[in-house]
Parts: sequence; C-alpha cells; structure tokens
Amino acid sequence: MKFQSRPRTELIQLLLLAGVVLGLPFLLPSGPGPDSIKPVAFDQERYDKAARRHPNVVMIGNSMLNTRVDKPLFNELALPNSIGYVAEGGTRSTVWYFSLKNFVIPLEPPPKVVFIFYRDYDFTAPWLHLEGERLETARTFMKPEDEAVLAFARKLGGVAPTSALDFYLPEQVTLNLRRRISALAIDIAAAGQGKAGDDGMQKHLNGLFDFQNLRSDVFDAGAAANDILPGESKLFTADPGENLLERFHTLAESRKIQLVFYRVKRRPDENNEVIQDAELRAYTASFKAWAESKGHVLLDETEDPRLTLSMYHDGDHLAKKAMETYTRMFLERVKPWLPLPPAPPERKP
Amino acid sequence: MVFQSLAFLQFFALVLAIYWLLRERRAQNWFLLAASLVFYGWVNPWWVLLILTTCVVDFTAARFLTDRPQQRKRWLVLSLVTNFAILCVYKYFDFFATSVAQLLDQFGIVVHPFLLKVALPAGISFYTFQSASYVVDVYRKQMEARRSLPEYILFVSFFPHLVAGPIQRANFLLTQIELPRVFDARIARNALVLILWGFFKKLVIADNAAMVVGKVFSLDEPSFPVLWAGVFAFGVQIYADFSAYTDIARGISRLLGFELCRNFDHPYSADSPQDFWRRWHISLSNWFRDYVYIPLGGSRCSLLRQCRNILLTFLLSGLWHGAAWNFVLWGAWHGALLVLWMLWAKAPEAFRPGRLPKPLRIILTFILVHIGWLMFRENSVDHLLRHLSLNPFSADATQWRMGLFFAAQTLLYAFPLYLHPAFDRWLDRHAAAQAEHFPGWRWTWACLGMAAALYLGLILLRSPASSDFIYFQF
Repeated sequence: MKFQSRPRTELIQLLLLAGVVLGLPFLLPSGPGPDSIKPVAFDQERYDKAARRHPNVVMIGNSMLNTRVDKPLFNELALPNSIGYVAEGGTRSTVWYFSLKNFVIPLEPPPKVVFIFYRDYDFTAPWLHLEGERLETARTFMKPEDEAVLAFARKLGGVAPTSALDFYLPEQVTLNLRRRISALAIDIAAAGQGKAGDDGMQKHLNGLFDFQNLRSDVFDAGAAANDILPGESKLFTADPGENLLERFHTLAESRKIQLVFYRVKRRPDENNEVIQDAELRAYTASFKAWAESKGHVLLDETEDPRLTLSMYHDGDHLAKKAMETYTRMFLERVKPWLPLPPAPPERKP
Repeated sequence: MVFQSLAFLQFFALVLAIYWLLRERRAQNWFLLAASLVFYGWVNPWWVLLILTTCVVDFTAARFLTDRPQQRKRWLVLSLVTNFAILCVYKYFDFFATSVAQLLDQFGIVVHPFLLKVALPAGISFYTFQSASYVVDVYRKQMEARRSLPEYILFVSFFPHLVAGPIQRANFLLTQIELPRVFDARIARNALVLILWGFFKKLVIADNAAMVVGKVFSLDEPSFPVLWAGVFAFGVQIYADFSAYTDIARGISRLLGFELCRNFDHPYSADSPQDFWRRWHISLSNWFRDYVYIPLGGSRCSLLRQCRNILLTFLLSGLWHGAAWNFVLWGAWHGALLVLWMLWAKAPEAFRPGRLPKPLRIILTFILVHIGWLMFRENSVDHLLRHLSLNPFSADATQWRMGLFFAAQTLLYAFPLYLHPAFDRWLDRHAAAQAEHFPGWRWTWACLGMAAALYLGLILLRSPASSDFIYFQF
C-alpha cells in the first residue's frame, strides 16, 4: 500500500470519521424487531363490528376482495346467510391467519364457512407485507401471543435485512419521525384552519387516493410482489416449517369451519387469458389436492372467460363499474358452499 | 448490484482492502478489472460479453486508425456502426418497430411488428458513448491509441461509474489508470463524507420525493395544483437521485485513488436554459457538444443552422435518455427553449433576458425546466396532453391546499438539497483549503459533524420504499 506522505494525524482523522460511521448506529435502539416497535393495539372495534352480524360466512382478504365483491349487494343476494368481512388492503397470508384466529374463531356461534381471497403464491410467501407501516397494520389483527408466529413468518425469508441500513433501522423512531413530517406538511397546507382543517385535509387526502381515482396503467406494486417471489416459494408445500397453511387448517378444524381458498383471476391479457406457466399450474393443483385432503375447498376463477380485461382497473384490481357483475358471478360460483341456499330474487309484479 | 445494497457494501469493502494490499499498479488494474466485470455481471453475466465486445472492437479500431493511416475513416465507421448497432438493437429496435406499426395503423394497414423484447443491459448508453468518444478522439488525433487492452477495458467498465456515469473521457480517466495511485488519508476522509451525502440524497431525499411522485402520477385526473406539486417533487427526485449516484461514484473512486469529473453544479440555480445545461448532467452535455453539436457546425454558422444544430442535438439527447416519445418530446422542448432563449438574447438591448433581475430569471428557468420534467416523467402521451391542458382556475381551495401539502412534504425532506448551493459557496471561499483537500483538525471536526448528521438522517429519515436509481434505465 502506497501512502501519500501526510502527517500521521491525518490517518487518525480518517479512522475517527470511519469510527463515527460504524459506531453511531450502536447508539440507536436496535432493530428491526419487537424491541424497537411500540405495541399497537388489537383492533377490538373491527372484531365487535364483525361479531355483531353473527355471520355464518366470513370473507377474509385484501384489495382483491375489496375491489371485487360489492358487499351491500352480496349481503342482499346471499340472504338468508349473514356475511362478515375481515378485509384490509395490502394484507397477505400471515395477517389472514391472524384474522382467522382472532376475528373468526372466537365468534359464537362460529361461522360455517370462511372464504379467503388470494393470488397465486400468497400462502407460501407468508413474509410478504410484514414491514414498516404494514407491520403496524398487521399488529391490529394480532393478540400478544401471536408475536412468535409473526417472528416466524418474518424470519422465513423476505423480511431479513437486505440493505445495510436495515441492520440499524429503528422502525418505530423512523415511523414517528415520518408521521411528524407528514403532520407538519398538513399543518402548513391547512394553515389558519386549526385542528378541523388538519382533519379535513387528511380526509381529502384519503379520498384523493381512492382506488377509483387511480390510473389503470400505473404499476401495481402488490401484483409485482407476487411475481418476483424467489423460486422456492413457487413450489407448493404445507410444511409447518415453511408456511402457515397447517395452522390455518388446525384452527378451522377446531371449530369445524370449512375453508374455501378462493384464487382470484389476475389481470388477463388482451385475449382475456392469464398466462400461467407449468410451475403455477402444478402449484395450484397441489394446493387444491392438499385443501381437499383436509376437507377444505380451493376455488379458482382464473379460467373464467367472463372476467375480461375491460373489467379491470389497475393491476389485478377490478373497476368499480364491474363490481356488480362480478358479485353476481361470484354468488353463482360460491352458491354450493354457502351454508343456506340463497333466496331467489323477488319478482316484481 | 446497486450501491445501496448490502451486497455492494460487502463487495466494495473486500475490493478496497485487496486493492490497496496490491502494491503494483498492473496488479491493481487487473484486480479492478475483474471486480468491475463481477459487478457488471452480477445481475446478468451475459452483459459482460456485450461490454467486452464493445471494448475489443473500439480498442482494435483505434489501434488500426493509428497503424493504418490510409484506412482511418473505415475503422472509425466500423467502430461507430458497431457501437450504435448494439445500442439500437437493445434500446431502440422495439420502439421503432412499434412506432412504425402504429404509424401504418393510422393508414389502415395493420402490422404485428416483430419485437425482440430483450432486457436493456444496464448502463449501455453510458459505456457506449464513453467508448465511442475514445475512438473519435484518436481519429481526431487528440489522443494516442492505447496499447493495453486490459487497461482500456478497465477504463470503459470501471465499476463506480459504469451504470450511470459520469461519462468519462479517455484523456481524463484512462490516463489515471495508466499512472500509479497512492492512498491519501485526507482525500479518503472527504470521500467518506461525499459518499454519505450521496446516500442521504438517494435514500432520504430522492426516495421520499419518489413516494410523493408515485402517488400524484398514479392519479387518473389530478387537479392543477396537485399535478404540479408532483412535478416539483419529481424535479427534486431526479436531481437528488442522479446527483447522488454521481457523488457516490466519485467518493468510491476517490477511495480507490481516482478522480471522476463533476456531473452537476446546482442546476436549479441556473438563470437560463443554456446555463441549466452547463450545470445538469455535465458529462453528457459536454459529450453532445463535442461529438454532435460542434461537428454539425456548432455556433460558427448562420443563425438558422445554429438553431437546427441545437434542435437536432437535443432531439438526440432526448432519444439517448429513453426509447419513448415522451423523451423525444422532452429533448425537443429543451432544444426549443435554448433556441428561443438564444433568439431572445439577440433582441434589442432593453428587452434581453439579461435585463430581468437574476432571481426572476432563475425562477423562470426553474419553471421551464419543470415543464420539461413533466414530459420526462409522464410516459403516456394522452395523459401528458391532459396534464398540459389543466386549468389552474378550475381548482378549488381544497385542491390548492392538497398541492401545497405535497410540495411542503417534498420540501421538508429536500431542505438540505436547497441549502447545498449556499454551503458550496461557503466552501469556495476557502479555495486554498479546498486545493489541499481541507487539511487539519478543524476540517476533520467539520467532516465528523457532517458525517454524523448525514448518517443519523439516513438512519432515521430513510424512505421505507427504496427504488433503483432513475438513470439505471438508460
């Protein structure tokens, strides 16, 4: 190593700087992990709302459910069944497991059937969407004893640190700071309008990004997350060491609930076809065989030609205008699995 | 391999340690070459073959240019055709095929074009231009053809700047490769701060601005204030993102004993479109000036021809950025701005832009540049036209407040970016210290303070959604 001739102190100065860079993070709270995150309460209100309906059918899912099924219409069409919904945009299979465990299993009497809306590989990638603000959302579905399952799911792959900063990232501090910056920006924008102005601003912002206000040609990050999964997630397995499927089954079996894994049709091409490789077909067939062996059902709408590209909005989400048509098609498909036969529509005189 | 990944930090730590343990320049160069090829082939090993092809063709062409003076033109043409054929196949083939099919479709002729659908090799536009400039420089006898192929390949593939520049000239970087390097603790100390500043710009400023941009540009029908707040955020994003890459590249190079040229000089302080292009992506602007604009006749010709030269240069610059019509439009917009500003500067003395107060000229340039950024960001021509026809008077107070919210949110993250010119001006006042790379404990304490602030900022304010550098796609 050749050195530029400098006083020895210059090397000390460099080492001091390197020391700051390497040492500073150790002064911060450790993370990511439970220690760095303040507890977020279980959403009791959501549970109470679901329980009040005394549902005999529950639907669990994310935006795939929220942008497909027109809930008021389905409630009406499915009568005399009572339908409960536990659907939160951006959630994936680990949160659906918590939904089943903490929202459905405690219901009295328990529902007969639970539908879980999913896309291709959701169930074998339980670590998806368990970071940052999504982790906070996940905690609203969790009870304290679920931490171990959460840690298990996060450890399974995707949530391990991939960036150098992840080793030091104190998630809660970061989230709080980001919220403060956002709140300050709202204060600036709603200057002179007081607290009501801030609340109104937040409401307008939420409304602005409603699904139906979004462009249909924008990148759907949720869809992409499914498409870039590592190869091993694309081989079906229900091994309890690999995912939560066996736990789903154990929970359902404990209350004699039938699970219906409902695979939605991804955004088709111009010919209204979804390109599925052999790997995905084999995966779905294995999943179906496993579900049936456990007394559950897998319904797949992927090959349904009535679901055309024109019904889609952005990514895999359906357009609002297509929801009514979809809901009627959906009822037709799931009718055999509803505990009570839906009443025929009333004929107008 | 991207700079902000753990893989890169591990890779670089290893490279840095081994590199300085090697005593001989040749050994260091061989090692750097191997490291650069590993870096480039990390995602797709086949890309290494492509860059090697470019290097071998250009190196050989330059040698023959010198050795066979009677065939000079032939070798130059061979090199340029090879370079630009590779670039066209990978970058432009599908674009042109689709465009032709769409054009024929307008006349009722339906054609299903053959598309290659191949992934664009990272940094192909950058290294192609860099390699081509070497052959042209040899042809122009501005430098001698080199004898060492490995050193030439290292010049083209030097990993810190391979993927997104700055585009280096052979007489600047290749000559450094041919000289012995020494480790300078003082330079290394400053390089660390530069790298941290680069990471701060990318992970805090650019990625947080990107979240605002992503939201605004996902709206089907944004109101005028919301859209332009999004465009403002994009202006912050693209500058912070691209200049961050340059700063990290320069910092990494300094740790290895190399100096790369500056690529940015506070472009949003520009007071005319001409000034903007002297400050924005300087290495590309200089490339187009030296290898396109001047050969076309530059400014030493009639006014009409000069206007044509400017327009052509900027159209090509737009196309260089990406194979899409919005980039062509962006290039045309900047070409038109330069032409109009030039004509304005030739108006009677009392009406020239110079008569406007400088802050006003800066604001005007800022607005014009941001209209260009809308074209750059919006790749749907339909949406672009709709955006450009938005009426500010049709937006109500709530929409203006929402626009203000997005702008304020961006500004809060980008605050250090806007302080940076003042900081640089302060540094410029210490020219003597700068020339000696800021010696002494006083500067070390300043560096320590800055490094600590940047690092804390990085850890605490880093965006949860990090994206690739924007210029990776070019």
